[in-house]
Amino acid sequence: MSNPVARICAVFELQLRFHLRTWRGGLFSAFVLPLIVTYGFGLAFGDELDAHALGGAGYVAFLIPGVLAATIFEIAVGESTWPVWSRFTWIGTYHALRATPLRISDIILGHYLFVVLRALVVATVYVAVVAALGFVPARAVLAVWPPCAGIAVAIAAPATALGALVDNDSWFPVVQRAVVLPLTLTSGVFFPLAELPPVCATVAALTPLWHGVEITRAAVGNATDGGTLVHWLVLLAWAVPGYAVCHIAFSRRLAT
Amino acid sequence: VRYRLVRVAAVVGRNVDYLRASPAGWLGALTACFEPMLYLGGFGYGLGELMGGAKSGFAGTAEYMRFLAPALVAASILSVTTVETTFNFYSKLRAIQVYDAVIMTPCTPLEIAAGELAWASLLAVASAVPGVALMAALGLFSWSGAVGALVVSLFAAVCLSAIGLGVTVFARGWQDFEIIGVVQYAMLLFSGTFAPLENCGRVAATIAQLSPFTHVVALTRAATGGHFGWVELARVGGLAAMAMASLAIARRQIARTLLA
Repeated sequence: MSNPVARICAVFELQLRFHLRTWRGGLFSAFVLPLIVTYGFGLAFGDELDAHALGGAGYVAFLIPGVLAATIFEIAVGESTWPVWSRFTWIGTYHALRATPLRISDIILGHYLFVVLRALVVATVYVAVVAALGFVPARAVLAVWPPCAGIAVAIAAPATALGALVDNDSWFPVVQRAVVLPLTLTSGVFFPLAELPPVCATVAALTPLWHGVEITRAAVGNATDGGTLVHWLVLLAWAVPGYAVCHIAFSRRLAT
Repeated sequence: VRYRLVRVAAVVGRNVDYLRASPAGWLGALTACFEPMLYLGGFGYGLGELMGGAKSGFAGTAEYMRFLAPALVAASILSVTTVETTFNFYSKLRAIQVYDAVIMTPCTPLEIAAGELAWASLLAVASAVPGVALMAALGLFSWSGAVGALVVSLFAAVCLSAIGLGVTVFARGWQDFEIIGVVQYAMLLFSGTFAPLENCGRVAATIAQLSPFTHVVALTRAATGGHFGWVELARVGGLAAMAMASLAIARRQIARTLLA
């Protein structure tokens, strides 16, 4: 196994095989929940909101890319907190992998690759359903692949680092409430960022979710807001240091 | 009866000890306090500004926030009681088998259920207090309305906890919490929480009457508004009946699990 691609794919295959045995458990939160959220908010607010402030296309059209990006965000955090932590503690998968010719980098990148696959499957199904209902054009099904993959890596990198760093899993609910929920509410998912005080826009501009929402929205609408490159650079700025911290944390945890 | 209460308190006390022992325990409880405030900031400011369509009955952000605030108190009660009485309760019943030890003491299945119910309710109401105080301070409802909201919250927490226990005793494994989570989210979205129930159309509004959370939200709004009539009394009666039935089911299933 001198080929790094083969090694990364081996880790990816391990997680895929595990997932193929347990995927039913994630069916509802991955596929049903985003549709419920779209339907619930779209139905409740559809006719009430000022369409002009939303870009003129109506609330549901505004909501769809936001909910998609937020769902990928949730999945990437979900796959990288408890599962990663349990592979160090409860199950010991990573210790077993370390005893093979695999390197630390293969284990981490194989995990990222698996998160990307999950993101793309969820995105494809969700966008296909809303496209069939006529809310977005059919070509959006493939157009959302690059932004969704980008969000998946930019979130999985720091989240995996967290999963490898903490010594107790009771931190994850805290992260869920103190990081995931506020970010979901202030990243332009449910309403444009311009509706919030300017300080929120500044904070959101530093976090990966808002940039992910923006590129997903651009991909669905087949339009760019002129900041595409900046959005991708910010996602990269989360992915690269995230990977570096992962490498340090994995190396330390698997040293003995 | 006195010894019964002592044993119920012991079940509550075990949960308090557990929370204190886990490093992120208090922090987790603390973050629950901020949940209604976050929703208020996010949806109140964000969506309130956009309210202006023909169907909207809201004059602006302030009026929408007055509509939203009591529902967010109810939402935080739903969130805390669901976590405690579904995921955490299941883990104690089946995974880490806390109750296998507890049942060896004089504690009965009913006292275990009542203890968990009391614990979840107290935690939910305690974590709702800061949010309610903030909303009253912002003038979203009066201070007497705030007291009313907390009283209704306690009642709602007891009912929702009982229903949570009654559902969780039938969970076949961790994967069932996926369904419970989606049902919880659907109840949150389709119970007139973020927008008036009528917006969803007549059919959806009728179906929503089957959700206990619809009545919890309506009762909390009635409490902050300071009006309480026959409709509210009927809601209280319905919720209480559902809670009693759920508690009885929970007691029976806990007994079957632990004493079989």
